[in-house]
Amino acid sequence: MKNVLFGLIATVMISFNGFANQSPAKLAPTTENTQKIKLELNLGNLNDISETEMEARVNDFLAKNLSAVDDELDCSVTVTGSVTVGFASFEVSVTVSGPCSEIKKAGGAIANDILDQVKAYIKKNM
Amino acid sequence: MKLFPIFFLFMVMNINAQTSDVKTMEVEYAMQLNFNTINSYKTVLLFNTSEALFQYSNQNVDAALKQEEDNYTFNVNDTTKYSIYTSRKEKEVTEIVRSLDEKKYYSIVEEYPVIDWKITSETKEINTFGCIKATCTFKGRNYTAWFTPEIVTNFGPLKMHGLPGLILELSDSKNEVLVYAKSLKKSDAVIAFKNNNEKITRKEYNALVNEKLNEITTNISTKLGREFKVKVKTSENNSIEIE
Repeated sequence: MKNVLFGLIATVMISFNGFANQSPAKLAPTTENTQKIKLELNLGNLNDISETEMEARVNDFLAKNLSAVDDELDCSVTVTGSVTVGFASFEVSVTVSGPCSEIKKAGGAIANDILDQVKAYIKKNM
Repeated sequence: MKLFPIFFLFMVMNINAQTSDVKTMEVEYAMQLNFNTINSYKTVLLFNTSEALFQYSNQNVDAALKQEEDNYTFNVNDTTKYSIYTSRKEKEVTEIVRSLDEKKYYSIVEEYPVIDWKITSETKEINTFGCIKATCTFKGRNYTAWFTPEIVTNFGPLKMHGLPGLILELSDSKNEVLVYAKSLKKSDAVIAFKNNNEKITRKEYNALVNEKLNEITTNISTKLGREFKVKVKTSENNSIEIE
């Protein structure tokens, strides 16, 4: 068994539920979109490497490749606002989806932008 | 009923509403609307024998943006002072509403509604006033009112009217609408209500607000890069008037 060439295929299956993050308020159900990305790592002959080295290679592989996954997968950010006008309460919900790397960077800014614009409308001329 | 404060100041300034020289009376009510969030309103009812003016403004402070993973939530409140005018003579109720993005007001005019009150035999005292319980269904809600025959008027808070006395407490069966009197006094104020606004129906007004909210979100979409997809949803969640 020692000389058997092991081919280890590390498969990283990453699932992502786009559009799944909806507010608990009364929103209509939306489509769930599941994406998968397959990453392969060939570690070669495992007899030639120590356990520590194997672990280091796997970690290195994940570090290098997981960031690339962000560009392939879609992420979403949902901003839900309650706007009270007179006696009525309106709900506005905005879901922005795009590459995870971009959404992670811009998510907070998008939410703030939406809030600022809603405020600007509501508060104008009050 | 948890939302009612444990105690409240009820300042009565030597009221005798049946005194003939009293032209107008002023009642200050505290009002809470408990929909998704609790909104507190400051309200004043001015009334005489033929007309009433109910004014209200939201006292809530906007909630800051909250983040929970990829979900953000916020709450924005319009603190404009709004009015509901009821005229027995004209047999009309006029509600003033505001456009979202400009200083334009509209009037929602409705026929003076007939409210089918059921006056019960239950009584209680609110401050020093003897009150009687009455119930009704109005605009999709089941209300309980405590009114005092000691202050003779048919008018009440919101669009409520038709009881043989002033309503001091009002709540609906879902505890989403809570109104209680804080103070009442004689007033020198003249009920001056001018209505030159464009008339609109409630349905049209709601559509207008939704349209404006959609405009806002469309603006956001155009500012974002092509790599983003934007999905927008606006809806009227809750209002005092369900039907």
